Amino acid sequence: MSEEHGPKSNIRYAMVIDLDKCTGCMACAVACQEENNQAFYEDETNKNRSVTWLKVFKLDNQKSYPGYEEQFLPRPCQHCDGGHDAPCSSVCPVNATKRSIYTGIVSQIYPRCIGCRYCMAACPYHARYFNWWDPDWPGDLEKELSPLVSTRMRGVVEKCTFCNHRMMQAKNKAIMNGEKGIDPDDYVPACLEACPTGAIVFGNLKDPDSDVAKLSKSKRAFRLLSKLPTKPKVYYLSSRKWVRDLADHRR
Amino acid sequence: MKLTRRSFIKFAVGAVGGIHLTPLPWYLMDDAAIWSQNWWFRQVPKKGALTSATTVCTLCPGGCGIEAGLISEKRAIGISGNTSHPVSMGAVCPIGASGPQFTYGLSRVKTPLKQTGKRGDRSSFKKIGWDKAIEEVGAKLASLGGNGERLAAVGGARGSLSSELFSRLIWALGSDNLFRVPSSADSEELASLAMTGVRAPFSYDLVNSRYVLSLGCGVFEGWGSPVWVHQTLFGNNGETRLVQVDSRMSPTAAAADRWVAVEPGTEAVFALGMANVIVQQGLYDRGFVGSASGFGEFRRYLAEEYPLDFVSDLCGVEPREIVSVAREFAGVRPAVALWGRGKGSMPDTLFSAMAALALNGLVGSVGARGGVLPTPQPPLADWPDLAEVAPSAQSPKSYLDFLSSIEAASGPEVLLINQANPAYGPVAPALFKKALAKVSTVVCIGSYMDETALSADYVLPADAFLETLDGAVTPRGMPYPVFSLVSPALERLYDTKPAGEIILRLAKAAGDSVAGGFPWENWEEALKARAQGIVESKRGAVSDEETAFAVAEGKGVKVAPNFGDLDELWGKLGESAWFDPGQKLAVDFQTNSGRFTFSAAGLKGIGLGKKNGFPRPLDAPLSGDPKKFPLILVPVELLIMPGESLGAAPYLVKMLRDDQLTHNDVYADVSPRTAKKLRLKQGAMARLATPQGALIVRVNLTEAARPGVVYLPVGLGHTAYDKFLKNKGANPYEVLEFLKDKETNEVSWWGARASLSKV
Repeated sequence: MSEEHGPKSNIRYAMVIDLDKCTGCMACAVACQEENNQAFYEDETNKNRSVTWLKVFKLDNQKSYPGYEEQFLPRPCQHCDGGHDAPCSSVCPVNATKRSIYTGIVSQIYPRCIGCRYCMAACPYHARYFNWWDPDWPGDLEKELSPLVSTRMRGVVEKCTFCNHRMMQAKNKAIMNGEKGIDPDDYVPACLEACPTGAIVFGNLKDPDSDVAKLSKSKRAFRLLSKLPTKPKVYYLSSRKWVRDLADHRR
Repeated sequence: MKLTRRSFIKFAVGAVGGIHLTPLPWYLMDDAAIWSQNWWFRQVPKKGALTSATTVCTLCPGGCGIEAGLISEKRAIGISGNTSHPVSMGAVCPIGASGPQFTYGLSRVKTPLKQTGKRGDRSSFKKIGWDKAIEEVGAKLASLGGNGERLAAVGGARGSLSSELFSRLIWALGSDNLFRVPSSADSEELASLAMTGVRAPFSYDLVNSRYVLSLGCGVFEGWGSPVWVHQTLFGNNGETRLVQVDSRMSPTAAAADRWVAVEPGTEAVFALGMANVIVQQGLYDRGFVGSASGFGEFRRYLAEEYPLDFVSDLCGVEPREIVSVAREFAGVRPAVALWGRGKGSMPDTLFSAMAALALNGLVGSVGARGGVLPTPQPPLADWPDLAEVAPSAQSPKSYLDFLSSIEAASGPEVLLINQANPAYGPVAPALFKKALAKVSTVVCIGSYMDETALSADYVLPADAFLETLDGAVTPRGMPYPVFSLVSPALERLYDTKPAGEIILRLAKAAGDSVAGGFPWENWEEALKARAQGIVESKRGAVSDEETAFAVAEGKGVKVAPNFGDLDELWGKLGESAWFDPGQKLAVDFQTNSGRFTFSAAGLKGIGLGKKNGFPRPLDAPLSGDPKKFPLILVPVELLIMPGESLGAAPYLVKMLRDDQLTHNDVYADVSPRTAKKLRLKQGAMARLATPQGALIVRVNLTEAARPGVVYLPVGLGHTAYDKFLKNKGANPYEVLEFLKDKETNEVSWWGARASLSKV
């Protein structure tokens, strides 16, 4: 439930990605794969089947050489803040996905998902992925599986969780240290941690001193599909008008 | 109501229909889902304490300090950057992020292997024990009797101490047939030797540069030390202007402030065109140039050979654009020009490296703040002198000539390969494979069953990423000395050893005269002996987070040693790297004149530099009839495809877009204008032919491509490794043209004449 429909929370986790700092290096995408035990197949040709929670799109201005320009856009789950629930979680029949009233994070409980894929139909960002096959970690590759993130079996939907498990770890640490709130430095998603240019910023949108709060108000800021009432919590920054226009399919 | 069959059915249907109008089925579904969510069929990775171990990434020569996230200290589940390491400063590149897949990958060689059947037949490799393997190979080396011609070797990346030990082994065995994998560092070294008198590749004080001109370098595609370059160029709050000179709209060009589109292979000529404008318009740094030598002749050379119209024609750039960039470059201080195509390791000519260095000299950016300087090395203790005479490593032998000579006559009896994959690339793999047939014994030291290991007689498996022990010196392009200890973050998985240990054991088994030059008990002792030099230098410090970030922000940081003795240094090296950011940038010119010199004359001392002045670009650079091969093929190095011929991990192959790889077909980027002339549609299969051979590819039509040029990514087309990589795509190394720089005998390659036709 969003704020209007539930108790007020001081925390709304959001992300700001500065596209002018993104070189399309893919460190964020690969770190996300590794952190979250994402499945990989022998043939990843079909990108409708490939599981990529953080997908890096290559945008271009459709002009001819040498007026041609490109920009890369990493797209995690947008953790939509609109309505009484995010589009995906409002249609889940088993509450496998829910937006937290406390943090704004749209989480996913993989073992609870029954694989109806209603959420995938609902998500306008195509940020959700279905396990069409049983994930396989042949040989010793199984050793790289992290116990902090549930593994998924065939028939289950998965998506970016803003590294929710890292927040839980930060919470545990705060509790053990007898502190009230988590230390922001202890909760950093894997993509941000990997990024070598600092293009990704993460934090509490309701904290006016946070970088995300300030950057979300930048002149360069825009969100994807802003004409929809999804109210995504991932803001993008770009100084190129053609990039900002693409967010709403304007050319 | 009478209970008939009919009424019963009516009631039942009514009940089922009614229930579906209630929330009951949905709640039951919900409850069932929750009830069963913790059942036994969930695969749960083994839990354990979450700790981390610091080490250094070995997947490219970048030398990034990393932290491996471990479970129960036994297995690695993720890689992040070490925040106190001055190279990575807490970040990673995609290759490092996929690191655990290099450790746990399916192509790891798990024990020493001996080929008992036909070479190349994987099934007839038999396991042998380490003692036996070392004994047999050692005996073969000893039997060479110090005759250097009977031995040859191909070594791996620059910058690792195990590679240095390998070179030492070959020299101790009396051979100078040692071929390090060719890189642009080879010609940079010679350019630096000629113009500054210091023989080292180029490094750049990027933190302080305000204008960076990249001459075709893949700045954000793996060039230099990739994470450091990203961190540095974006760490200046937009104060640094980046200009990319490149034939295509690469990711670097996309992120740059300005893109200058040039004909491929002409970047160095463009640089000299700029140099001519700078000289003619009097925009050069009078102080620096006034104190240099050879300027008068250089100025004449530029005026005669690089007039604006000629450069404009050759490079395909409007004269006013050349002037504009020249004026910008000379107008913003400090400005620096970067060299090294692709990841900075595509080997090129002495001419090109000197062009870049000369351009930097003209604006006073050599040995100055924000400029270029010879890569400074950490003050490690020297290896002890070898009893045997080390060969004339000064005048490099041509790798191409060597391979051709084997093919023509008989080969060396023993060929040793250390952490390289020459049967795949990057230089003349077709020639290498032919030459192999003439060699009696091929010994491969490496971690993976790659193309070279598959063709070997002995495979001596080395510890892989996160397991190995090694030393890493100043990474490519870094402007101050760095020494990192690559320490094991994990216990090794299989029956492998650090490459340095393997080389040491081979040396000890190759006869007393060789063993004498390797007096250490084990590899760690050898590393410590060298690190002792740092202790004695009383310079630098082991970095911490605060210092690393302060240096990265361009604050003048002076450090003092934070270690008293070797034990203390060694302990600290487990946490971060030693570096000396306070080391002066100024170059102590060692040329004959003691000054920066705009000529190659200084190379005469090592048997090069036949001409007095500046070298010329290669004559007739690419072979082939332009009518038959009207296009130019340019290989493209992607950040997600590892260099050094290392096979990509599954996560990296997964990251390739479907306009780069679909199923087993790689895409060559072609301009829609070119494709239209050839009647090739998007995704069409095509035959990409060069005078050297042909590949089957699909075409991707993109306006990022310069018309007339075909771009093919490097790193695919492997015929070894495992199902995640094997047989996917094509290998451009098989069809590129490998040129020999007549000035230096060095290998040079950047492309080939090509044709594309429908299949």
